Amino acid sequence: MSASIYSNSQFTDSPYGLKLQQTISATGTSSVTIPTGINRVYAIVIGGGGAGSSQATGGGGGGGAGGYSAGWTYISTTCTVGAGGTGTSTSAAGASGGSSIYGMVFAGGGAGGLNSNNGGAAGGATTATSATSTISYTGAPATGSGAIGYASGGGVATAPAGVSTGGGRGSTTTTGSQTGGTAGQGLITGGGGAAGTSGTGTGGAGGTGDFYAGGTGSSGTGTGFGGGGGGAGFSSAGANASANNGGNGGSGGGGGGGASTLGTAGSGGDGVVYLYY
Amino acid sequence: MANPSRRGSTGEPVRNSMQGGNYTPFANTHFILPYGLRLQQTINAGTTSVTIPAGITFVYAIAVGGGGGGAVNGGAGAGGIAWGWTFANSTCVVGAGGTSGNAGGYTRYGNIIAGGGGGGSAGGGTLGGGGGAGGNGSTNYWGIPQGNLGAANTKGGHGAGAGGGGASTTNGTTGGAGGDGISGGGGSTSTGAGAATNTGGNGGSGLAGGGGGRGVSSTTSNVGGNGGNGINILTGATTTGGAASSAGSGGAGSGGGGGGIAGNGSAAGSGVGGAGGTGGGGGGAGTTGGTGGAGILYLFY
Repeated sequence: MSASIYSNSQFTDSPYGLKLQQTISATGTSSVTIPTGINRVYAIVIGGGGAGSSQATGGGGGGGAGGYSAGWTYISTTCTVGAGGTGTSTSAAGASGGSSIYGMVFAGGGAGGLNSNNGGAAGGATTATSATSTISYTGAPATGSGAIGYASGGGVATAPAGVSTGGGRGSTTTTGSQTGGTAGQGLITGGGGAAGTSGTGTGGAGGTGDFYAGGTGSSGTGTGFGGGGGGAGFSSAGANASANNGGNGGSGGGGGGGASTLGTAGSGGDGVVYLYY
Repeated sequence: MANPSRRGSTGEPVRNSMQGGNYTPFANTHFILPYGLRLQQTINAGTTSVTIPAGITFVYAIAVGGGGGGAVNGGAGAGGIAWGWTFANSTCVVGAGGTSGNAGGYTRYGNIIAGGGGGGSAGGGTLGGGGGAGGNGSTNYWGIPQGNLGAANTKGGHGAGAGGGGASTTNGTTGGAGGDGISGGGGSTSTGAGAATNTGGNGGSGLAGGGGGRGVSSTTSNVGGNGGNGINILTGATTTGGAASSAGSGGAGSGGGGGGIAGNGSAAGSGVGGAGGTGGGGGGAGTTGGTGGAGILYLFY
């Protein structure tokens, strides 16, 4: 005799053995088609990276990395992918990245570099807008400036590590040899801080990611150098800085590098959504 | 988000048990273990690369941060613990235990991350780490809340990362014990001058235990606190905290190291706190604080 028990083969919390079936990288809201019979999917969702900041004097801070969230969700016919914040040459804070959402899995964008030398924080489940991160999708706490976290805070004296990391701090001193702060190591990383000085300026590198490298900062004498490198994204490396411009963040949430002395800050990398079933 | 590891894979064990044949008892030694998977790799502090076989796309990871280092002011907190599914990845960071007075390092594999325990001088825990004596613990990866530091002579609060104990400045009154939780807090000191015995607080217990506190300034007897116990999550066995040391007039009793998830804490020596056990045990208090237990990373697939 054998008992007949309702057995739903999909009813497991393990994503073990699943295959990547769809990668959605186009920013904005798009439609998604899931095959008939698939009632839920495992989603990895990454928000857009924040842009670096640019400053009239000295170096701007790097942008924070986009948030990383993963889990099971009901199927949805739409998906939103957050764009990275766009870097500008205006002396102001950088733009935050956009949120990405699929079903009930969502991740926020990284904060733009601050309107000072501080780096922006990484995004958690929602978008960060300052040097303090946001709570992650799992519930890990938000962290303040310079602190390790699932989503780490913006860089100050030390570059904090995390799953998604904050941007590096820029240097405000405008004379002598100066170096911008490197962003922290993580899965997805923030952009490096810039250095704007009449002496030798070297921008900080974007943080080292698990899969890709951060971009290098530029170096040279005078305020036309010292841009920070872009942060590593989940799906590509951060770009190197050029002159006093910050490097762009890698795709999949890398933060943009800071700019020195009204250079153009690096833009954050766009978010991405992966669907497994 | 609900903790995804609380339900095991469904189907066969339930179906078999309903039939009365091939009965599979509930044998999960701890709720964070992934039912049905095998431990395939154990990675120790300092290792930075991982090889996952081709075709494995997801891995279940248990990450433990390094325990904090004990200090003259008290025992250290245990390292934080995080668990869950993550994509297969070729890199990792496994935190070292903190040296005397310093916090332990974080451990991360993919998106699973656990912080270190707080150092014994009122150091706060990070990402699930227990607080050192006089310091707060920390909310962990899953949002399970922290325990706060204890008031004077009082045990630290329970939490994912438990709080450190509150110090005693009254002769003959024992220092506050570390709070219990997933990662225990550090025990505090007893420092009041007088003839009665001063005893340091014990470390808090959990999956990883905190370090014991220190007793000093008694003219007759000074006794340290024992390290808090931990649990070997692979077997369910207790990992014991280290025993305290004691001294007479002019001396100090040091605290034992807390048990980690993979090793016992060490006993304290003369003026030296016991080292925390492997897998996040907090170091004991001493003139030279005990080193925290190194972090560890388990990978199941």
